[in-house]
Amino acid sequence: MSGTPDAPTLSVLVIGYKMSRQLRNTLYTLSTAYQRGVSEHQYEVVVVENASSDPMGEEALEGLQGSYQYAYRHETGVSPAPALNQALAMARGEYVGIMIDGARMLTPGVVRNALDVFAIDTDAVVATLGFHLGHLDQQELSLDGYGAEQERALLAGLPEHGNGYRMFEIACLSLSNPHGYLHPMMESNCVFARRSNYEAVGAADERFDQVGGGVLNLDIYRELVELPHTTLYTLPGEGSFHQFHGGVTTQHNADRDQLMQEFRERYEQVRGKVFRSPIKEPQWFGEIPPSALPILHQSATKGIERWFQRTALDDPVWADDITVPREAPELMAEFEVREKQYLLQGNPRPQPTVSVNATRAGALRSRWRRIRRRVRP
Amino acid sequence: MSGDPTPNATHETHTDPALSVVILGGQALWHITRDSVSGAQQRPPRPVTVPYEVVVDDSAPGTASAAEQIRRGVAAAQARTILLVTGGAPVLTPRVVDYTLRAFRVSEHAVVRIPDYLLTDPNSGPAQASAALDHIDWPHDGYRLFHVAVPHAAAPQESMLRPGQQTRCLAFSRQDYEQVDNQWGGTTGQWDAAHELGRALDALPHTRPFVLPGEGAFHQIPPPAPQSPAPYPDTATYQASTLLGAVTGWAIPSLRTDIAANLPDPVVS
Repeated sequence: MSGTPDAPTLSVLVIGYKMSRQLRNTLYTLSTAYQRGVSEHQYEVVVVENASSDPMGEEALEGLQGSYQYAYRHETGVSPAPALNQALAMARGEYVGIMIDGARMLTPGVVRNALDVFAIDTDAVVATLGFHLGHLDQQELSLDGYGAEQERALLAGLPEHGNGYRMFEIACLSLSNPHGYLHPMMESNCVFARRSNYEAVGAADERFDQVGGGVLNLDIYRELVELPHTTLYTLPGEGSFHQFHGGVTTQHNADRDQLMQEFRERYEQVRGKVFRSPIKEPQWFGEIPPSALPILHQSATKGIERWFQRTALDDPVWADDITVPREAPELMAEFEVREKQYLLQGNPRPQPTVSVNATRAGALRSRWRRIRRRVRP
Repeated sequence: MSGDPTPNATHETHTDPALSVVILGGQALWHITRDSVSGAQQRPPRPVTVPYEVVVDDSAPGTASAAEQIRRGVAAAQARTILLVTGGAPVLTPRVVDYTLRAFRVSEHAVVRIPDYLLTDPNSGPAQASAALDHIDWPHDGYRLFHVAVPHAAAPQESMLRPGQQTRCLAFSRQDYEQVDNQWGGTTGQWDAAHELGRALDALPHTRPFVLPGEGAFHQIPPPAPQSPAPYPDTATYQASTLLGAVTGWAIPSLRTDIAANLPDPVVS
């Protein structure tokens, strides 16, 4: 349906299931009342809600400012993949945003920044980093009785109601991307791409039919980023914030390890390869609100560690560095294997310092070269 | 590091360039700066495919004021977008031109700042900068410049994460430049003149500031202490800069130091 008259540039696809309160919050953060610097003519929100005992319903969209489409889906399976594909069929934009988990609230600059990036590069993949509300990952918090009520109180206690950037102050990086913006990301819970690129990777592969879709979201992100002609952009001043809702992988579950193993096996069956994060060099785009500075600081610290580690091994930091053409996937795989071996041998990571000047950085680099010689003479 | 004498406002001309890089040398070091802009440096990882020109003004020191030099350089440029490179003949990292052009695809009223670094400390001279450059084979990988650089200690309050960062390397549209033509130029040095110009451009209601956090302008000549006005005020009217570009390798420690300067103490541990 893209390209129709009066079609918006961007369609944000949101899937909900058994999360009425959380989905309502998420959709508010996608409204034009909340998103800054954009109008309803520029983007629409396409909501597909799978039937459940806790539905939000279309009436919840009344009063929200912006352009919305809604469908209630009598889904018999347990995966969001068919719903995501239904949302794509409803979408009118040339670009799509994919939010497979409707419990993710956004910061106010996500939509504008994504549209700005597409002005630079139509083949961009624009990724936000995922956070969990709460001071620890919600899998851990749920062990201590953390739940929706505690989270509601946490959000209510935020100063400057309506300033979504303050969510950075009550959140932590999710375990799927614990190292921040200067490491390869495993997934993005709010990722944007040109519709044609999304279709080129097969959209939501319905073979990911496990509960919650298994690793469907990770698969979509990897496939988009690894298209040879796409460029990865991340938004270091924005984020998606997961609300507690008893999701498949975001709460404590005694069978979680078994479940994750089944997810990995399904990925290998579908794609014929082992999952790893795509390692294309990210370009940054956007403003940094003060509340996001600690996350940026943490990312830079972890980025320095990764950089020392890779260069000490004489490996490129990113797979698309000019010394490793992306047409050489076997080299990229080899680098990953070597890195894992190196860490498995018990080698320490360098300790970050507050102020790393050139002399200090040079000393750390020399240290890593010495370690490297000891490990691999 | 010496070069052949070159007349003022030398052009390396392309037809209808998308960008004019205006280099104000004032000394014989400008040719290294020109090489950092026009040679292989600006290619990886994706080539700059649009034509751009390099305009060099190497007037002898004292023959014109900084503002006059800037005005003359801009007047000699052909493109609608200007990248002004002033004072101390900075060497640039490889994607300055590429990212500058990208910023103008987002907004035709972009004001792009490239963070400043020094290749020598203020007590040293060009010979030390030359030795540092020889040491790192920078034409092979311009990001190694971060390896031998020191932050611009002359202006410790400046940061790429604060509005209006003082830099001697900034890009703007000719249209916006013409709008502020009579609102700057009261200071003497190139650095201060460029900063004044940047502030005047920021004050236009439609301009959008950008900063390139993974790139840098590395000065071969130690600068004099800036005579510029006080730091940008933290008022409600300022616009935070949009970060644009990849931050890789040696640039990360510089970024981290910059962030640390903006964080309250308890966060930096």
